[in-house]
Formats: sequence, C-alpha cells, structure tokens
Amino acid sequence: MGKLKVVLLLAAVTAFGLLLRSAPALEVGSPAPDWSGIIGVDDKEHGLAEYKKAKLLVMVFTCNHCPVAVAYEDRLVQLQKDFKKKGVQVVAVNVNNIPADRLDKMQERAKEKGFNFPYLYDETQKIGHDYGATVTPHAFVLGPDRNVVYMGAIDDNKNPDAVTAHHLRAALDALLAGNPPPQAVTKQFGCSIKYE
Amino acid sequence: MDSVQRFPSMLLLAVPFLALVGLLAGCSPHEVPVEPSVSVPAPELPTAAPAAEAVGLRTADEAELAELLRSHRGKVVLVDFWATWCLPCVELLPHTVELHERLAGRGLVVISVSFDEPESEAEVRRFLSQEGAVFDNLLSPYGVSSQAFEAFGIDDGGLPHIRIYSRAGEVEKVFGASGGAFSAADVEHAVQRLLDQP
Repeated sequence: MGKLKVVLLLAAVTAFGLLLRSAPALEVGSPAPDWSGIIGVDDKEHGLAEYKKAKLLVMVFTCNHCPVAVAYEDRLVQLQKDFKKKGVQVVAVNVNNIPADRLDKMQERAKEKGFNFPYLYDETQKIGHDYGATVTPHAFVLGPDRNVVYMGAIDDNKNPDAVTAHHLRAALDALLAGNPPPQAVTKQFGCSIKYE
Repeated sequence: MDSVQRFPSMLLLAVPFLALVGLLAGCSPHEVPVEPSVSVPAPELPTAAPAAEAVGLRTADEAELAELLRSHRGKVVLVDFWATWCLPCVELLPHTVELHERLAGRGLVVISVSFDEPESEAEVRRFLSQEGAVFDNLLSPYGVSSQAFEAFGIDDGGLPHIRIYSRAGEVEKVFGASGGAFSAADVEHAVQRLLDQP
C-alpha cells in the first residue's frame, strides 16, 4: 500500500506542476493578465490598474532594434493621436534585453520619435510570457472590463504605403461602436522575441 | 556577431593602401555619394571581401519552394527562413552554411528563403555571396507582410524560422518564435538525428 501512495502522490505533484507551468494561451475573451511595477522611459513604475480610465487599452510589444517594429512607430504615434479623445490608450512594452533595447536606448527612441504613450521595459520578460507575445510588434487590445478583445497584427505590411488591411484600427473603430472587431485575431509578424 | 566572419589580414592592409591610392588619384571626399539618412536602423552586416564564387538568388514563391522540396525527396532538407533585417537570422546563417559544408556529403540539402523587401535584393545577394551560401537561395516575392508569413506557413509570424524535413519529405522539426530560444547546436542536433534515419 505504501508504494501505491507514493506513486499516486508523485502523479498528483507532477500533474499539479504541469498545470502551473503551462498557463493556457490567451484567447479573445480571456481576462488580461495583470501587471505592475514595470519601469517606463519616464523612470517611473507603471501598472495595468493605472490605465483604468481608458475605455480600450492597446498594449503593443515592441522594441528598439527590430526594423519591423521601428517601421510601425510612426503609425502607433498617429494611432494614439487619432484615438486619444475616444478613450483609447496605447502602452508600448519592450521585453528584449540586448544592449540596443535597454532603457537608455528606449528613452532616446521615445524622445526622437515623439512617443505620445508610455514605453515600458520588463527585463524579467514576465509580461511577454503572460501575454504570449511572440514577435515585435505584437498587439493586444483590452476592453473596458480588461478582457482581451483583439490580438495580433497592427496591419498587414511593414511598408505603410503597401498596407491593405488596417487590422488594429478596424478593430478599435468596431469596438468603440459597440461591435466586435471584424477580425478579433490576426496574424502578427516581425522579429521573434528572444526569451531567455 | 560571432567569429565566423572571415577577415583575411591582407584585406585589412589593402584598405588603407587603396585609400591612399584613391587620395593620390585626386578623389575628394565630396565625390563620395552621401547616403540618405536612414530612420530605420538595420543590423550591421559583416563586410568582408566577396567570396570568389558568386551565389545564386532568385525570387520564388511557396509553390516553387514546394516543388524544390519534392525534387530533394530522399535527402534531409533544412529550410532557413531569414532576412537581413533580422539580427539573429544574420548571426545564424553562417552556421547554416557551415553545417551544409560539413554534411552535404551525408545527404543534407539547405534552402534559404529571404523575407527581405524587393529593394534589398542587392544587399541579400551580397551577404549570401560573402557568407559562401552555395545552396538554393530564394527571395520571397511578398515583402515584409502578413502574406509572406502565411504563404510560407510560418504561423507565429516570427523570424528566424528553421524547418527541417526528413528524407521522406515530412516536417520533423521546427525552430522559431513559438518554440522558444534555440541555438545553432540545437539545429545541428536535429539535422544529425534525421540524417541518421534511413
């Protein structure tokens, strides 16, 4: 009987361990993972709760060095400008740790490009893991109840003149009108995020 | 960047010598075309003398890649999806070249597929030449777009992306954004395992 108990205990512990390790992938409708204590280019710490006044929160995983992410910076600044009055808040997050992506370089870039949104740096990469961010740029829209309402690409082409589908804008327009996005999940593309 | 760059010492001597000759010949700095300021930083590609043998590069879509794969049935095929804009890809490519050099004789075929924009073709060609990528090099016709990733079946949308086919033509191993960090050694391990299979 003793041996059986040990085996059962081991099985239970393994199952529990596996459950802890593999957090379910985020889906549309999932509650957005909470986050806090993440430093921004303003040298202050920020948390999800801070943005509770925003109707829609647009979290974009991005970084300094990836040319695809960089190509989208102006588009994000424009998007924030266009949607600010409608209660949309953009928050950019970097989880890459190479020297070119560190906070000092982020501060330079934010200033140079006139970022009108927070640009945060999580060197633990936890927020990236929690959201399942795979590439830069990778966008997630959180609704008023902070459930995920959109995830994926900003649009469909690195070249702004060749874009045929403005996925993120279309999603925001629909959500602000009280409708689900025409496409709630789209395919993000860019540089793989290097998780350590 | 790792030490795979080959920088013959002769080249290092040649550079100042040529510069001196150029100066003496009356070339003024003002004759050098000014590069337009680039707002998009690109990874710095290693610059060395081009390989003696120029390599091939052709624009090809996913249908042509599929045909190429079919033609290599019986070999283990490694497809290296990369781009000059992808820093880890640029670091990985010399390892892919080296793997091919060592294992082609045992039945390894390598195909590279670049997701560069069409206007970067010359740069792609130059880099591949200098790395000695003497295998099939394809350039995707779709630029940097969601279409490119969807057409070539890269679901997680990330580069680098390495796909290894068994001799039977089945995808046996994928390294990419959704699989977590991987090294050149991981890629070699997977290739060796498949080469050992009948």
